[in-house]
Amino acid sequence: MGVRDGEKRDPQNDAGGGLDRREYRGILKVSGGKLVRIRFSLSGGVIDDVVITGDFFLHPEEAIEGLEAALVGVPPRKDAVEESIAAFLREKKVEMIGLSPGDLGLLVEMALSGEQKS
Amino acid sequence: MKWRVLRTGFNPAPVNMAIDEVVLDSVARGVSPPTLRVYEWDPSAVSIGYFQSMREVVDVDACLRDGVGFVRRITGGGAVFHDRTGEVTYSIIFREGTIPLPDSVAEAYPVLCEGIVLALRSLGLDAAFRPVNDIVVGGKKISGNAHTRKRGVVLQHGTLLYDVDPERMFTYLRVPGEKIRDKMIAAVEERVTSIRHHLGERVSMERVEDALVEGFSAALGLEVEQGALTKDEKEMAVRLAEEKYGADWWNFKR
Repeated sequence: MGVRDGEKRDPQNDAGGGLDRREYRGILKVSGGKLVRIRFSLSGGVIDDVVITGDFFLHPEEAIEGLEAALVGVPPRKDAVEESIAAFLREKKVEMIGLSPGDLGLLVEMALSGEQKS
Repeated sequence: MKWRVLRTGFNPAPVNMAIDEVVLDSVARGVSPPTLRVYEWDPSAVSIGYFQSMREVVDVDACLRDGVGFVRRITGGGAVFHDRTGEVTYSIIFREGTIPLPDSVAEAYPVLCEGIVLALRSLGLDAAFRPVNDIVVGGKKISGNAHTRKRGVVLQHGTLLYDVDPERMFTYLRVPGEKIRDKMIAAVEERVTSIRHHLGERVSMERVEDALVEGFSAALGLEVEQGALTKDEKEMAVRLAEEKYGADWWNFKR
């Protein structure tokens, strides 16, 4: 959209959430059959808005908003995402079934690289 | 304490999901006993898991065109096509501590799912639990289940396939990339089975309901008696069906 091929995005210019904010989308079939999707945008090089959908389980269910919020401000790298999710589940005593924190990290990186290829 | 058995028969999707929530509420408040419910869907409907996006997994236009219902559940898990003539649903709702159950939801599934395993065995099918939340016959899925805990109450509901029509199922369920629709249909034929597939016409849906009640009673050691929704529960279910489960703010919230 607003970024030319091969040009690095300038975090300073992105921080205001201008018209060129792009949405990254990823989809992952986790071993065992669950299908998880993510969509997010970046602001200043870190995850901004994020929505996670899929046929997994979270107990309690209301934790999904907190889990998404835990990703805001996190760099879109597998290790960083995995660590944030694992910390959230541990601290809030949330049980996640059908996918792992690492799966979500992988999904974020897939969404990012999918976008870069196009 | 005696368990209440509810046979609520055929209802539209919003009413079905409202009844489960209303019973959860009255069990939480201590005004209704632990409850085992069996039911069906009319019109046929798709239910989706709490974390799914309606537009991502359901062809809403096809549902509206054909009068097929759609509803978001309070439980996680996947989208289910509840065929009016092809599926029996159950729910089991009780206060924590009523029966021994592991704290971990993942570990509680095999305990509660034993009721369905026994039901299917009583019908002559060699059923087994398959983690996380499925029951299989001959390696093929015949039942999917979803569990939640709210306000000190356990609610698990699940589907038991009586007859399956993958072509019709994927008229309403969307798959990622329409190109793989045919593949998904083939996959369902390969990985999913039903009671009719094994037993033909010999077993009615009513008999399946009986088997579920007997299966849960035997698996969990329940003493059951036939009951009905209270007047309050009925009224609350009608209201909840309209205000929540039939409303866009809920069904399209993700």
